[in-house]
Amino acid sequence: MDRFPVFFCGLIRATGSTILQSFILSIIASSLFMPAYAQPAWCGNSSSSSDWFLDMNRFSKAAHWTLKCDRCHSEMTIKDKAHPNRKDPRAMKKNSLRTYDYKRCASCHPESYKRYLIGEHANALSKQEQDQLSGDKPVSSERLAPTCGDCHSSHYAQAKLSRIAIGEQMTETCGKCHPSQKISYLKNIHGQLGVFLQKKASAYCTDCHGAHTCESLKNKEKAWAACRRCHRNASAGFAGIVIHTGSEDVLKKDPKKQADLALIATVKRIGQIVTVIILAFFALQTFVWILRELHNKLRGR
Amino acid sequence: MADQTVQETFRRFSVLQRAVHLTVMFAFIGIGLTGFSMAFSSLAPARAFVWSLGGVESVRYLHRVCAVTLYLCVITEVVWLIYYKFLLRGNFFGPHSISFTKQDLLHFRDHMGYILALRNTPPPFERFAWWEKLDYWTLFIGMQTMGLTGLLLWFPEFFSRFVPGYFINLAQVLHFDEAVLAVLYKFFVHTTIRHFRPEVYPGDWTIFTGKTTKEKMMRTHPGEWARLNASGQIIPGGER
Repeated sequence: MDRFPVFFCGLIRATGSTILQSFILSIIASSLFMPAYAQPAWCGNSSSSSDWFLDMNRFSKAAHWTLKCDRCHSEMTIKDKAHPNRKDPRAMKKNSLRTYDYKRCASCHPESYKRYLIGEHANALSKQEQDQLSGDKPVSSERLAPTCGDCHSSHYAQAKLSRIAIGEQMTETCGKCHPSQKISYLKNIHGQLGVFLQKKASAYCTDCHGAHTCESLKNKEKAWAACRRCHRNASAGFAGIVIHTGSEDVLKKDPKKQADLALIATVKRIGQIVTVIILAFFALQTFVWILRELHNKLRGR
Repeated sequence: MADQTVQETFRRFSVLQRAVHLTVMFAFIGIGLTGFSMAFSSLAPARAFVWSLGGVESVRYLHRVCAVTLYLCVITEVVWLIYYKFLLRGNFFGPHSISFTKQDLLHFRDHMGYILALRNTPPPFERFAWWEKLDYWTLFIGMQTMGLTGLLLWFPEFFSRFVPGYFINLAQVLHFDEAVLAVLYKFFVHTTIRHFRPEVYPGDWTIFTGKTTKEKMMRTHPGEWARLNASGQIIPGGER
């Protein structure tokens, strides 16, 4: 341990000037004590995944590092206008996630894009676009259904991650828009095994809901088929196990599941009350018992 | 002057009873540690414990080994019960039995009176006091419910053929709640009553050695002592 002061003294003497000293110390202090979100982009913790500005340190570790910029960004049009549109000064202020034409992803990832198009996210997006056109239900741009870039960071997503690392990332990514489902998943056996206990045979979000299709499993048949991908002997009743048990996870349109959840919650509450009452009784009883015997001992009986 | 006379010792627990208690004790500690390390896997210490046992696969395996061991102990007790009833012609509700009788309710009332200083002496407990019977039966009955809910969680594919799927959720809820109850009760209440009360501190080793002394018997189970004296069944160091 006593090598550290020697090392620092040497470092300070070597650097000489006091300005340099304070600069180096402030860098060391900032990297040690600053919270991650406050650290600058060169620390490799830039929070935004797709932005107009690129963190080359992170990009150099990403899967798309080998691609040249124009592979994705040439001949780009936004609403039939060439990009960058020099006549529109607001262009750079627009959310790049909403202006980029993600059909381009299909040129390298055709299968994923095809699955996305038949999936729930694309469905929801087209519905929202129709609603916006008809002016029925205007949706703010932050609540729009996702396209590729909302889930995948085109600049920073890394390739060849382990199944567990992908699963952990997926839980976070899906959880951004589905927070209550994330919570109930992590309380479920699949989440506990897969995310916390690093068992790769466990199921992550897309293992049940489908990669890129992102299906809802409200339909019993679909849910059963999803269960049987891993639980080969599962009967139809097996799909009745509630995975997302949060009260916000189940739609009001599903009274059967609502009733099941209410029963589970009631049993849970009764179990907790009984547990607390029994333990409190015996803890108190034992405590008073000890006092009584202490009293006897002190009286010499 | 220290008492130099050799204390009369009596055998309170048979080899089988001691072996079952020891097995249950270790299996219970094992099942509790492995179970809670999985249930609280969101916390780092639990994950560290799982890692130290070689990952979740071995923890699940150990949990099930402990579960089967515990249930084998229950089966041993049931077999013994049959042997006791039909071959030894024992009495289920006699003073030596572990079964609850009306007498235990009265003893419980009197014992509460003693604890709250409404009475000067504890009631004259028979061979097993009410909390000893409670310790036995909570585990015996608890093993049935924990075993059932545990089986539902172990083989959900099989059981969901016969029961609706949400029963698996119920089993999970009940398994956890009862585990909390059982572990806190056994680890804290049971241990405190049996070893840390001023009366027995620093420990009551009868369940491990099987031996008890005349003085201890007179103090803790006076009803049994009086009954044995009256019937002349006392054989020091031997079987009663």
